[in-house]
Amino acid sequence: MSKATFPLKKLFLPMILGLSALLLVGCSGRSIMAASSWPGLTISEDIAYLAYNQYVRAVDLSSGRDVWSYPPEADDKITFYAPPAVGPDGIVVIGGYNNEVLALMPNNSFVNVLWSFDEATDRIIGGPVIIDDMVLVPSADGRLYALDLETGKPVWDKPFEAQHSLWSSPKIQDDRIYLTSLDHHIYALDLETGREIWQKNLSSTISDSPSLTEDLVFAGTFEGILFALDNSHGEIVWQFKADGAIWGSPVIFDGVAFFADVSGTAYALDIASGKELWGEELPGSSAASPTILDDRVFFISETGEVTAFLLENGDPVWPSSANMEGRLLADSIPTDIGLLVPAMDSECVVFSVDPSTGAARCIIEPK
Amino acid sequence: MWNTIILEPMINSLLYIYSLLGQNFGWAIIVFTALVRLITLPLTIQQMRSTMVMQEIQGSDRYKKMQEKYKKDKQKLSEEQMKLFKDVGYNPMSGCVGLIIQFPIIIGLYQAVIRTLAATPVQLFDLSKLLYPFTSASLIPVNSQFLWMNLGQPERLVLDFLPFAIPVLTILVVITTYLQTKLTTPASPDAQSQSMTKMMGLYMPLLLGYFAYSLASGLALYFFTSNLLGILQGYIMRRIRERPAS
Repeated sequence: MSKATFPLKKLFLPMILGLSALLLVGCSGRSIMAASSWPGLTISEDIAYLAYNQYVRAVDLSSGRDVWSYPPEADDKITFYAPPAVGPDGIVVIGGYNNEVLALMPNNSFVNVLWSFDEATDRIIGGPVIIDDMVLVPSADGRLYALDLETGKPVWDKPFEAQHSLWSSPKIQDDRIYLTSLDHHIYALDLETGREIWQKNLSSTISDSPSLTEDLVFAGTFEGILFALDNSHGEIVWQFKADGAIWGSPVIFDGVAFFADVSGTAYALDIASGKELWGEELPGSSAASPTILDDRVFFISETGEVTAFLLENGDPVWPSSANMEGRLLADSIPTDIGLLVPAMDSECVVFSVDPSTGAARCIIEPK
Repeated sequence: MWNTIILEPMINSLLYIYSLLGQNFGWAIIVFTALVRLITLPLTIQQMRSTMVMQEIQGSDRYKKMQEKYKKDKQKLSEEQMKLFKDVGYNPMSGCVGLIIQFPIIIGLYQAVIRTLAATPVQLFDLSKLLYPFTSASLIPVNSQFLWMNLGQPERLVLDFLPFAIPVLTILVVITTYLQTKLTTPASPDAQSQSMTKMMGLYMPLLLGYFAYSLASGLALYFFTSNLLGILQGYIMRRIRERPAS
């Protein structure tokens, strides 16, 4: 009897230590090494390009089936979260948490790698942006790389370098790039050379891309302030203090800026004056940019709801918002089949929400 | 509830210390770990005292005799042990209470370090919900550079003349964990306890060493600081114990 129980006694301590280890790592939510983020979604011609976990997938929206996926076999060390950039002739540029940028050329269900770029020294979190024959890639190493779309070779003499990580996609207007960084700054760069035209310190981290109008640049900060800056010199035109941190970019439509904050409030501001037109409570925190479709603005809550308000006065459209399983932190995209809402920690990666009723259904499942 | 009682106060205190120390997160982790260990010192002392009393009881003639006498009657042995504990005024739960209270604090400390470093978008978003209104958002993201380390990444020291990188902090964590285990678990006359102590002395350094090697160096720095303070506490307690009663 004693012989039979001895191995159990011997194993007791390692088991306790192992359980403690699991508790330590498990209680932290996610390991610091885990490349965890929300899905990166791009839509082009009825194909959803989805970067999530170990794959980048092209999914036919009409059938819900994978057209192709990359890599052919999952690699534990490589994960993808940056929304892919889709260029002319079907070229797809993706960035990984292994710091690498790849240009893919799909051929039916096969994918050829046209080129790869491995000079970044930290993860690609923000989505690459294709402009003409160039692709701009923001990296968590703080650099913005401009690469030739055909060859992947650097276009500028040297990449633009911020003081901290770049986690969001750059925005382009005329011959300028507008870029935000975790270093609290917003930058205006020359598109041709990557040289800085102006920079403005907004005193707090800016997580998402700026929003642009003809003469203003908008950025929301971790401190909960939405700034409107003059795009020629970066001077602050007005600022508005929200209740909580602002993560998602504001959406500008018909002279109104729509955005939400982490405290779970949706706002509509007059972009000429910065005055609040209306503010409405959401079911939970919001990290996503709102989406505008017809006469409605849609806000995504982390807790799994999409809430619709009338653009005109902020009146709620649905009696109760759609409710989806998982955390909704990514921006939604309007399509012919509904509002596409990516989800993490869910058995469905992309939901489709009917904009008229709020009913939700799963259209892309995890691979 | 966990966030409100443990995590939020810890994260906001850590950020407050970080702001006082010129935004040096390495020093903030060291000072914060020291403060938490100082606050929980009475519990640690109580737990160590309890262990020492237990060791003394196990070494007494009365205990040894009862072990021999009732070795075939576990029920009776248990009753006699409880009687002995009562006679010498020892509460077997006294050591556990300290441990039980300390455990969530240790887990919270660990999580506070990880979450404040916020190396991914989800972690940063979650951090934004844990800050008090008076904690300056301008402190985020924290400066994760400390000495040669990026506190958000596993630590390796690269030297030009060596073809490989050295995990300095991992080595220090393994050594200090071993020393701390040795110092804080006194030798036991009981064979089973001895075996447990031996295994603890082997597994704990390996386990924490593995964490230090593979997880963010901010955590390894916390393990190392915590171990150093534990060794200091153990040393002082041992000296007090060995001091002849005046």
